[in-house]
Amino acid sequence: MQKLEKIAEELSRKINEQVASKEQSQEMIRQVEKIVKEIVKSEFRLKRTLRDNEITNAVLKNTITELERQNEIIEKQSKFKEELFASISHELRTPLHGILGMSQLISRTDMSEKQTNFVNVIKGSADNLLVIINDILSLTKMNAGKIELVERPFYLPDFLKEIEGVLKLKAEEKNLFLRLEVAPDTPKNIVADHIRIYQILINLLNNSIKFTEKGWILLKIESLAKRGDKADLLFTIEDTGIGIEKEKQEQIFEPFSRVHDLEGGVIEGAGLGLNIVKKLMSLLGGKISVESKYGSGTCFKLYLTCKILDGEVAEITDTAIDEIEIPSTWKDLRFLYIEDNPTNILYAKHLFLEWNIEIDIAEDCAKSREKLKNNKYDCILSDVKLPDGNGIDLIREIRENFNSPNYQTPVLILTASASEHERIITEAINIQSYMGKPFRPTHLIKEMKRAIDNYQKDGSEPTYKIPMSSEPVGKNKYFTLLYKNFGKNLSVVKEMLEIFKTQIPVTLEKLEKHHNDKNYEGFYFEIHRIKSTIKIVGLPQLLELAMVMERDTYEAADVTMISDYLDKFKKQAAIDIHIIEAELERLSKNVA
Amino acid sequence: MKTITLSGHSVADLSEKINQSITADFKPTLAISFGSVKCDLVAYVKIFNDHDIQLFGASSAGEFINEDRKEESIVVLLLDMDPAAFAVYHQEADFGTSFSAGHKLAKFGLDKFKDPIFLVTFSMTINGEGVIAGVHDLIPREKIFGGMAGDDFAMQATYSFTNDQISPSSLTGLVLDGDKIQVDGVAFCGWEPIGGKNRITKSKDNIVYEINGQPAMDVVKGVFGNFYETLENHDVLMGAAQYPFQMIKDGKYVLRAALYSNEDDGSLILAGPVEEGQEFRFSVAPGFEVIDDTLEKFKEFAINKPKPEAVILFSCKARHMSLGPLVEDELAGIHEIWGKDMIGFFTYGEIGMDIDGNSNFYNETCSLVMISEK
Repeated sequence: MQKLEKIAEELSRKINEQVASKEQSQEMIRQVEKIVKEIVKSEFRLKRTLRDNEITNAVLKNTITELERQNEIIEKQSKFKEELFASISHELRTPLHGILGMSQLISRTDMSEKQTNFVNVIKGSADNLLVIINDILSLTKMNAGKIELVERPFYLPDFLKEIEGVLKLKAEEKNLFLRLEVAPDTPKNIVADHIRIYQILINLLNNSIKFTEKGWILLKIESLAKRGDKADLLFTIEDTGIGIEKEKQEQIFEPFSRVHDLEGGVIEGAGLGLNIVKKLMSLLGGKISVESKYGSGTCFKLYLTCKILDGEVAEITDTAIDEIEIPSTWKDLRFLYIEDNPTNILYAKHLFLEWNIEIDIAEDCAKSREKLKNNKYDCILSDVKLPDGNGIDLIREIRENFNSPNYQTPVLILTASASEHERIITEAINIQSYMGKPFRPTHLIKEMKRAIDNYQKDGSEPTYKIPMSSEPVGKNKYFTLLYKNFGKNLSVVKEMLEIFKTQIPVTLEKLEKHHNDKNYEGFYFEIHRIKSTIKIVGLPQLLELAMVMERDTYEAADVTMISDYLDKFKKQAAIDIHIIEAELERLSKNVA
Repeated sequence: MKTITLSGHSVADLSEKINQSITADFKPTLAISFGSVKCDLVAYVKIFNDHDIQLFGASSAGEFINEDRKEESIVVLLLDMDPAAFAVYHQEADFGTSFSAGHKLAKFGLDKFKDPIFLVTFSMTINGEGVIAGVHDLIPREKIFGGMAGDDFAMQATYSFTNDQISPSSLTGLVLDGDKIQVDGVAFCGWEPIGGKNRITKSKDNIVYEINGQPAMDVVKGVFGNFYETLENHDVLMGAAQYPFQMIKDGKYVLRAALYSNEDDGSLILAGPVEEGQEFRFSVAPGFEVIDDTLEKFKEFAINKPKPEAVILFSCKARHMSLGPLVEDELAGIHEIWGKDMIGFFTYGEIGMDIDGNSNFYNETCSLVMISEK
């Protein structure tokens, strides 16, 4: 029995051991399963994290593409808006030109006092409308970021004379004393976008005249500090006008902000001028402030930092023309006016008749070509938009045709189009002047005088003409700096021209390649490099184009027009090489 | 109210378990059940008819019972609820008649109870948003919960069923008497928008033809590439459900997952309707922290709410695809909050209530329902 009990005990122990072992095994299996589950989860975590990253990258890439697409649409819309406004401006300015022109002509005829008053109202209204159209255009361009700053050297005293010329009469009509001065020790040769500064000052001074009934208006320019080649300039525009209420002084720079006269009436205008001024100042990197005592006057202060130059700059500055009398020699000159608008033609015919100057009229490109082929003119006035083409293209044709009798004839472009590109193109193909329509007779005379005088300076030969062997060395507008620096050693001049002549085809090839590869960084560096050489050699038209392309390709800022500019650059380079060859030939004789 | 949860992979297995569960102390009156289309649903339904237990159920795309996830199985929650406190409703319907079906369901509920509360399941041919609109047309802001039936992601036919009907084109409702039964619920999502805004430029009902003026399929393929590819010789989109459109409507976001594509016209068929001109952003599954976030939100929601006797969960299949095996952590966590009987299934769309108490038709959410007798 005891034995049996022992056996049973032993069996029981073994069974318990086996049960324990089985439980242990099951527990181990559970643990392993748990670990496997955790491994599976970890693997899934890893895979999903990788996939999420992939997806996130794809979505972000797609978002960027979509944003680029939307940006493209916005740009297209913006361009359409700009073109629409430019077109509207053209459509508005052309009839306005007719109104202003005809009212000018009527006012020169015998009229009763009542009629004179009516005509003055027409003129005044048309003037106001013109200002509003110009303001709206400026604002549209600025809002679209389309205002391009073009820095150029200019001479402050001449610049002020120009402003004075425009405003003097207006001030005198109201018996106001207009004083424009440059303080002593102020740098006179400035490098800045003088067109924008002009626009700002004219706007503020016009306001001063408008809001001042008696007293004076002052524009003073002074230097606050000089730092290397820069000066901090202060432009003060002060008047004894109606002033601005204190609470309105912050609002006046807002668009459509209007002021009231002392009787509480609203002063006419769209209320855009000061908004434009503020935006332009911001574009120029400057600041504007206003101080005013209501009823006593207003003082605007403009703070602007400009580059300054020393020495010879005055000679490349725009020359101010004080006199607007018609030179007696003009009666012997031949003028061609290319214009399709009958009102404008009538207006011009009467003006020229009044000035006792003969003028030919061509209504389209075809007739113009015929006249330009068979006649040598002394000055061409041309519209841009013509029924069968473009006035600028027409001028380009004659500029590129060495056999044309009008190859070098001064050209004045008259247009209602406000496109900035057209202005640049105009400058690039050697057009002497560009003015917007409607024009005033005095402005037209002034611009024609500028073009013709420039052509006839130092005698009967054009200053920009291809140098002929009879011309004194270095007296043309080409090669100015070259002769200034190396004029005493003509062999250096000759050598530099020869080097440049071989360098330019290589550069053109590189530019072409960069353009085809859309490598705008390479394009920028190439054009930047050749630009300084062009400057030293002295090729003004080519330099202008190089500057434009350099600006547009800097960090690929705006490459939309590069193709056009490159074409023009190539054409201008071909002309300039022809000029260099002529100069080299002449130098060979002189040097030898 | 007593409850029991059961699960099995075969009808025979379940039949035996149900037989064993019915005792003198527990005589179930209602069964809520979700099961794979691979099971013999006809034989399955017969079990409940034999035991005179009312049945409310749907086919599924994966099931869960308490803390466990199942596949190709059937799960059931048996309740001995007062038969006077509930009623089961069935209505044949399609996408176009969803509103009307919802409206009829609401009328059925109102005829039965003064304060009806609805649990619904429906086939994928039904517009969940239409059902809600139909119910709310009669009973504004009524509580509705539920899920679109699944078919183990075969995307062929999904069924809702009762004792009498197993239909691939129907709406089935379990209407509870709000005076006797306490029902609370909430749905959480966690999907995150990504990328910029897009616009549906051409659509009809739940079919999107164009996005941003381009064929819809081109746009999503451009963004998600092979994640939006279809199966070979099949129009079912693989993976796309995980990257739903986050629709922006009245300043609020509703997710819509793409289920199918039509290669002929480049259109996408979504799991719910959208409106032409509506803006949306693409969205991506959140990180795994969404599990903890969801559990925290459910816990917060449960504060001051009566403790449930049973929990029903409708969780999106895309959520399962996105969280993978970690979805079990979410299920286990939810079960742990109350420790009560819980069943549910992976759906093709969920009806649930947001935190402000508004019922919506969702995708990618986890919609929770808590039930107890008052």
